[in-house]
Amino acid sequence: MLKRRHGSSVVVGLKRHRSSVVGLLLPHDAVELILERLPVESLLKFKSVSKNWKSTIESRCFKERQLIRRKQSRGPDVLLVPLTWSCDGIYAESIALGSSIVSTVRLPTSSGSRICHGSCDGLLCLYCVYTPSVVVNPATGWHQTFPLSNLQLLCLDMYDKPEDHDFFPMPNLGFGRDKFTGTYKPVWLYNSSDFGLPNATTCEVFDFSTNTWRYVHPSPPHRIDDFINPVYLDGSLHWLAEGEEETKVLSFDLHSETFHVLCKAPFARDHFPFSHNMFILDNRLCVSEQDSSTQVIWSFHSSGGNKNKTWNKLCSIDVTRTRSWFIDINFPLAPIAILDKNKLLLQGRHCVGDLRITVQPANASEGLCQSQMMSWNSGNWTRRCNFQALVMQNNVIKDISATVLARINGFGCLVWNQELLDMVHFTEEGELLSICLARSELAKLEIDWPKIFGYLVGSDVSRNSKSRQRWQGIRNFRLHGSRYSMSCALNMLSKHERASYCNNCRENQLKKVELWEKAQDFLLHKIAILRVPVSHKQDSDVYERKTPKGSSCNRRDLELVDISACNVPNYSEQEMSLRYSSTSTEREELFLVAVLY
Amino acid sequence: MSSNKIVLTSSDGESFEVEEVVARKLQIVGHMLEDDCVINEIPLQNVTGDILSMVIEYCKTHVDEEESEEAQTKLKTWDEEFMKKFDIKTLLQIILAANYLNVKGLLDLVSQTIADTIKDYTPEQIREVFGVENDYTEEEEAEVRKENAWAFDEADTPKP
Repeated sequence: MLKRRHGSSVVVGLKRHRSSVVGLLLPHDAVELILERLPVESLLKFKSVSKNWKSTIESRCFKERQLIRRKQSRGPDVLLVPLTWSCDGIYAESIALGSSIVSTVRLPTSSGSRICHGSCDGLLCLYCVYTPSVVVNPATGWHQTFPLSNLQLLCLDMYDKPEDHDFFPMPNLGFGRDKFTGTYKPVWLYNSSDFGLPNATTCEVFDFSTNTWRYVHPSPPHRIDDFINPVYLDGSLHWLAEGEEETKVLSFDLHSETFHVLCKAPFARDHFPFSHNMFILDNRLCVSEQDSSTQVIWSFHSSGGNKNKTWNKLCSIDVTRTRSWFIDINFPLAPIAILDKNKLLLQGRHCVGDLRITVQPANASEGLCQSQMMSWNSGNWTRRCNFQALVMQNNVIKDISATVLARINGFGCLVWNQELLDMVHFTEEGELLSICLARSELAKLEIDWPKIFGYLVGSDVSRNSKSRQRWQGIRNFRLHGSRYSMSCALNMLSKHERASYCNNCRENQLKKVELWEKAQDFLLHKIAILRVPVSHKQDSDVYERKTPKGSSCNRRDLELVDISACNVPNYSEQEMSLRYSSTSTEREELFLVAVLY
Repeated sequence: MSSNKIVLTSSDGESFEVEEVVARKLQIVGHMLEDDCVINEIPLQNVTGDILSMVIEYCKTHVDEEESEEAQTKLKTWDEEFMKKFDIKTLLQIILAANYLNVKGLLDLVSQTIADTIKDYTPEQIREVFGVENDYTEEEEAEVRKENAWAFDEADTPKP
C-alpha cells in the first residue's frame, strides 16, 4: 500500500517538473528499442515524425531486427490472397487471420493468378503467364514487378496454338532469399520435355540487380513433380523429383545456385498423380502422401550434417471425413500452418464454392459441426468477423489434437508475418557514417580483423533526403543513415559500453572510428580505416556540427587493409563483393562502416 | 556473501540501501563491483531518486528468477501491474534509467509497454512526448505522408 502511494505521487511530481526534457535525453538507441516493438502500421505512420526517425525505420538493420522481434512476440497470421485473371491493376484485398480475427489488407496489385508457396520475410510473389510477375509487401504497399521468363513465353506460345498441344503444363514458381547476400530470387524449375527442350529439367533464376532471367547449369537430371509448389526454407528452395523407383527431395541453394538431393522422400514413387504434397510447418520441411482414406504428414529432421536425416510422422488425416468438404477429392489437402500448437490449418486444392474457414470449438463432443460460410461478394469482404467453428476429432496423433480446415476458392493461402522488409538494391551514392567505439572495443578491432565484415554505403540523408538509401552488406547489417546517430553502432556494443556512452562523461574514453571504403568494379578489394581519437569536446563537436568532419580526411589518414588478406571464415571474396561506385574526390561522404559482430 | 549491503545514491542525493544481489541486477553496478570490490556506496549520476526507487522495486521483485511456470506467470502479472502505474512520461524516464543502469529485463518490459502505449499516437503526439523536433519542411512532410499513405488510410477508415 505504501509503495503504491509512493509510486503515484512520483507520477504527479514528474508531470509537474520535468515533462518536456524527457524526450530530449532519451538516447536514440533506446528509442529504437521501442520502435522495433511497434507494428508495421505505426512505423509507417511514424516516419513523418522526423528525418532521423524516418531513416531509422527505413534502415535495413532496423527492419531485420523488427522482423525478429515480431516473430518472437506473436504467431504469424494467415493471409488469404484473392487470385485473379483480370489484370486491371485495381487494388485487391486480402485477409489476415490471426486468432480468428479477420482484418483486411490491400494488395497494391492484382496482377497474379498464382502465388508462390508461402511468404518470404513478409513478401509475396504473384505471377501468371500473361503479365509480369510481382513481388509485394502487403503490409507496406511496396511492390516490384519483374518481366516474363523464357518459360512464360514458351507457355504463351503454347496457349496461342492450342490445337498443337495435348496438354498445357504450367510449372510453379519458387521464391526465396539468398541468406548470405539478402537478395531475393524467383526460380523456375521445369521438365524440359514438356516444352521440347533438351536435358531433363531447365532452371531459370531472376536477377533483380540486372533485371534479367538467366539459366542455371547444371539443372537436376530427374524430372520433377511440377504439380507441387516449390517450397522455401532457410536459404533453399525444394522440389520433389522422380528418381529410380523413389521420390527425392531436391534442394536448390539460392546462394551458390546449385542443386543437390537433400534426401529420399518417406514414400516410394507413386504413379498416381497428385498424391504427394510438400509444405512447411513450424519451420520444418514437410511432405505428405495420400491414399484413398488417409493423408499422412511427415516432417524432416536433420542434425549433424548428412548423418541424421529422418522423417518423423507428424499426423495423419482421415480424408474420408473431409471428403465432403472438398469437391475434388483427388487432390491432397495442403497444410498451411499449425495454430495454437495443436490445430492444423489445411487448404483444399482446386475447390469450388464459397470460402469456408473452420475452427474447432473447445468442447464439441464429436464429428463435424457445420461451419459458417463466408461468402465472397465481388471483392467485398466483411471487414471484421468471427468465424464459427467446426470440429474434427479422432485425428489426434502426437501433438496435433484437431484439424482446422479451410476451403478456399481462388485464393492463395499462406502464413504471413507483417513485416517492413522490401528488396534492397545498391545505389551509386555513398554515405557518411561513423561508429563510436570504446577503447576496449577498439582494441578488439585492431587485433581481430576477421570480425569486421559488414559494411554499407549510402547517402547522407540529411543532405539528400530524396535518394532512398540502398545498401547491401555481407551480413545484412545496416547502420543508421545519419552520422549524428550512433544508435545502431551502439547496439553492437556491450550494454556496459553503451551505458558509458550514454553517460557520456568519461573523458577520452570514446574514440571515433571512421571507416572509409574503396570499391571498384563492383568488387570490394580493400577497406580503409581511419582512427581518430577524440576528446569529449571534439566528440560533441562531431555530433553537433552539421559539416562532416570527414572533409579533412584524405588518403594519408587512411590505413588500407586488404580484405582479401583477412582470413574471414566462411566468406569468399565474391561473397563480400559489394556494388557501388568508386570514390570520387568531391564526395567526401563516401565512407564505410564496419560492423562488429 | 550476498547479504552485503550496498548504498546507491541518486543524482538528487537520495540514498537507497539494497542487498548486493539486488544491486547486481543493475549491470552497471555489477561491472563496478567486479572492477573494484571494496565499493559499498555507488553514486548514480543520471538517475533521480524517484526513478531509482522504481528500478530498485523491479530488481527486488526479479531478484531470484525462477524457472517454474508458476513463478513466471506470477512475475508476468506483477510486471503488468507495475507498468500500469506509470504514465508515458514516467515510462520514458524509466527506460532512460534502465538503459543507463543496464537492467535488461526492465528495459525489455518498459520498451514493450511504451510501444503498446504509443502505437496509435499521431506523429504530432509522438513529437511532443519524445521531444523530437520536426525537421521536415511542410512540403517534405506532406511527401513522407503521401509515401506512407498506406498507413494513414488505414487509420482513417472507421473500424466497424
